[in-house]
Amino acid sequence: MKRFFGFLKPSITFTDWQGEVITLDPPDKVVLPISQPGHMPFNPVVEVGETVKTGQFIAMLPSRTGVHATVTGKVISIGPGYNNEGQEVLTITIRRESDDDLIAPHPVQNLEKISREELLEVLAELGFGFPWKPESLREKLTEEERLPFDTIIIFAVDTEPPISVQRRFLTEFADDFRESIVAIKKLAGDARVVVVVPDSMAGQARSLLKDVDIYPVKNSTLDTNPRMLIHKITHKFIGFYDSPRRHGIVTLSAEDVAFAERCLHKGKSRTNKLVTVWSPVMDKPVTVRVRLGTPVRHILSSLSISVSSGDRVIFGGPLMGIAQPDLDSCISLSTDGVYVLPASRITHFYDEPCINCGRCVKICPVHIQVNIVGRYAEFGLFEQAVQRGSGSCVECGLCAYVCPSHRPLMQYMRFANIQYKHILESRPADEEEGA
Amino acid sequence: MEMIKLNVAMGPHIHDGSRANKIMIGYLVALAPAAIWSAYIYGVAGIRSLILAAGSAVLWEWLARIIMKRNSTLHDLSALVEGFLIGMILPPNVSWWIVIITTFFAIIIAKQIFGGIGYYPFNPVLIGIAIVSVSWPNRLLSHSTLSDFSLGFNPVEPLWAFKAYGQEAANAFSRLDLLLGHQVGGFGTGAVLLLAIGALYLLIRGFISASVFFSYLLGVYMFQGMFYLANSSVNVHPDFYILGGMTFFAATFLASNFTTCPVNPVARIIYGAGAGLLTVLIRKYGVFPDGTIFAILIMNLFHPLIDRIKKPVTGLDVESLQFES
Repeated sequence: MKRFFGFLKPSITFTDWQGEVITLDPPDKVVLPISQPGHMPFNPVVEVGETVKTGQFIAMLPSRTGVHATVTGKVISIGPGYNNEGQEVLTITIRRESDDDLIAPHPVQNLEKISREELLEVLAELGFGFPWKPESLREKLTEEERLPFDTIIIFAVDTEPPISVQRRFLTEFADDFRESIVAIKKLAGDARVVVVVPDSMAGQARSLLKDVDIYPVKNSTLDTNPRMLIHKITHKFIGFYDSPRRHGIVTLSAEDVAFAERCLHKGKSRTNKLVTVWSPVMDKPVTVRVRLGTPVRHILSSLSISVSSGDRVIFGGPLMGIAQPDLDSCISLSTDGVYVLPASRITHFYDEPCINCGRCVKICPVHIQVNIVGRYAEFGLFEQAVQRGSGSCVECGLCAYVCPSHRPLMQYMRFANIQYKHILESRPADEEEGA
Repeated sequence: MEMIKLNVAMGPHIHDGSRANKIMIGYLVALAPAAIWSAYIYGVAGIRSLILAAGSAVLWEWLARIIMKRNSTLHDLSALVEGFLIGMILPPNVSWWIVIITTFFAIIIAKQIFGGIGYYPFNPVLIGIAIVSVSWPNRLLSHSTLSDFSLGFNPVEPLWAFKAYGQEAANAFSRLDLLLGHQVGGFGTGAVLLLAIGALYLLIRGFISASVFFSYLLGVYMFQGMFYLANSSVNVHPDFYILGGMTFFAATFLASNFTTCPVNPVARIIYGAGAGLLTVLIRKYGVFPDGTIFAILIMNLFHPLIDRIKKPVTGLDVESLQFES
């Protein structure tokens, strides 16, 4: 990671990602979140003690997507837990008791003739959070979910190395992917569909997918940052306090898209997830296929990676990933990578003074004057920090990565943004009206 | 089951391994060729003031941190580098108490009182040198300190000679002599060729800002070039300004000092070119033959202002924020 040529911008690139996907054995228990933070949960359709089969419908998420059992066994608890981002959610824990007893599939007969409404209902029940919702659910949607949209961006690139999950769907599941894209084009109507692919696969993607925009991107983290990509494709910038949906943009992952067709054809719900695992004891990252809800402990022990106290286990990549508090954290739909850092390799950040070298400013993709904003955040001047643009931070993490004083710059940005949110929320309402 | 306590923190979780003290070591490496060459020319008398400057700078830093009841910052090596820079700028064979006073003003007054590395508004090395060169201008003239030496080349400061005796005196210095460091001035500021090797190393490692370095040198060359083209009988050729005096040293180690220069690309170019213009103006109209120190100090004053010249932050709508607050 060390660079001799310091005048060059560091770029963290995807290398050596090809390799077989290894399917792991199902774990002894799975934990599945059945609610979303900030939403009232629905009651699950199973009870504690009930035996469930693999693929059985067990709950509906507030965003109207189904949750399904991913192993065959007994529901041992339904109660509060945490999702990967540390937010409190309702979870279902299932203990595996036997080999997979698959629930009888209900394949959709004659996909061409099915009506749009029926198709949407099936998709929602199968667990796909697509932005189109069937009429029956429409009145229960949140305000944001009802907003119209005109652009659909499908990410067939991963956010950061060494994750190699989304890009695989262009090669290994090409047929599923293609058929799904055709279906999405049909559902989307007038909306523009953009597929973001790594530039090495652009030719392949162009021959595979007709009638959609292919957006090839280069091979470094800055090129594959989702918010930067949205900005480059649509010229709309999504800040910290904003969401793409408010700008009429919907983002989907290639994995969701490819699995949709597969699941529709087979009539099965989605139980698997691809995850790239990396640890310094491994020669190269390994991509594994695991059940949704698998505790990370199971993955690490299956790959014979030992973790001891003081190590860091990160869901996601090394720059933007989220460190997990314990090994019972479970793989969810948004977990693309597991990154293990042994205690000896952990980087420590300090509140040492900034020496103004300007490396953070040079690397910042959105031109924040990171050295100044970091100081504002450090000394608690959050409003000034936000006025200087900390809300535009795309959280690529490169500012802290290059800082020779080891200042936690990206952490300061996030801190300022969250504190500013609290400041706004704590203001009396009448003051805002007066302004 | 054994209880495992994992380490948790916000991302990013990796780092490129750069450290502030590695940059300082880079500075020392870049200073080394010129320092060794100068030590060869001036002998023990020069080395003495260099070591005295470095040692006293470290001592002042250590004392200041103790008096202020702060953690020691000696490990970042900034005091050592500043001491070496002062030793390089001061003339060889300068009085020992001038060295101590320079480092005192640099480290205590200009650096630690503001909070140490990263917080000072003016480059401490420049403040120290400026104070002593205003207070004892005659003691800081190289050729007056070198009266006992036989050097084998013209023992007069080139810029001083030009100021005092004009064009002809300047042309008495061969450009090759100036390039090879056969000129008196600061202890280590004359050997332009060796400083260039150091500068190249620093530029490759990214330890100094290329835009400041080149815009300063180009600024001096271009503005003096204008004067030269306008009236070549009074104004000296810009070559002489780049090679003579401490222009090259200042471009490498003083103007591009991180803490006191802007960080945005365009601002850096303006800052460097502005310092170049001021250098030329001070040399032409000022009292001091070598105006680099004051030119860069004046630009230090403006650096936060210049630094506002930057690309707008993507997606930042200041008006909407001001409405909310």
